[in-house]
Amino acid sequence: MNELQHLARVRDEDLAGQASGAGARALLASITSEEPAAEPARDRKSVV
Amino acid sequence: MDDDRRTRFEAVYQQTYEHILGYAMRRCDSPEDAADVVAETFAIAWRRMDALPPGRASRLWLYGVARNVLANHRRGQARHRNHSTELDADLADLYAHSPETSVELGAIARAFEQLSEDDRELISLVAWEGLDRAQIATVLGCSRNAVRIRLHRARKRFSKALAAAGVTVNHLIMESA
Repeated sequence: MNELQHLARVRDEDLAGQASGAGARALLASITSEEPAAEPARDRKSVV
Repeated sequence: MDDDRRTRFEAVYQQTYEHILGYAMRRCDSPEDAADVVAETFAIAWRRMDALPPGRASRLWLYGVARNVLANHRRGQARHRNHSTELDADLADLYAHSPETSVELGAIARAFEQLSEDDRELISLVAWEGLDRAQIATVLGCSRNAVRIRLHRARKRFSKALAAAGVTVNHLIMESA
């Protein structure tokens, strides 16, 4: 067993089903309710 | 609104939400911070659908975005979105049920915390996200060889910190596939 994995607060497998949960659905609705503004093409490193 | 764009985004969101949520939770001490990182990462993806690669590569691209969002968050420059009560409740619940590891693995955790942020991130991408060198290179936007060298150095520093703490390291996975 990878001991370092025990340092992780959570594993992805523990989050199965979260994508269909209320929080995920509310976030998706919130994000896609906004009309995406046209942005100039930029390198990923500069997007935030 | 472009229905194709929305459909494609929703598909990527469904495929990657749990990975990005896990990435954020493993690196944020509070559910509020993790919610910020997840929300801002996907908001950027929505705005930059033109840059979002198809298929499995989208997960790596989103890790790269989440990494930048997290770095900005730590510098106090992140955008704080107004989370829904549902998202806040989900994250609070997940944090409440997270196992406490600091007692059992205290020495390893302390050695890990002594590393630089860059070293921790490299080792975490291997141990927590399960990425290989090529995938890490995609996330970090550098060459595979650069990842190999940086990972080698990070492992050496971590081994040194562990040895100083009296921890045997031969059972720790720190090598990429």
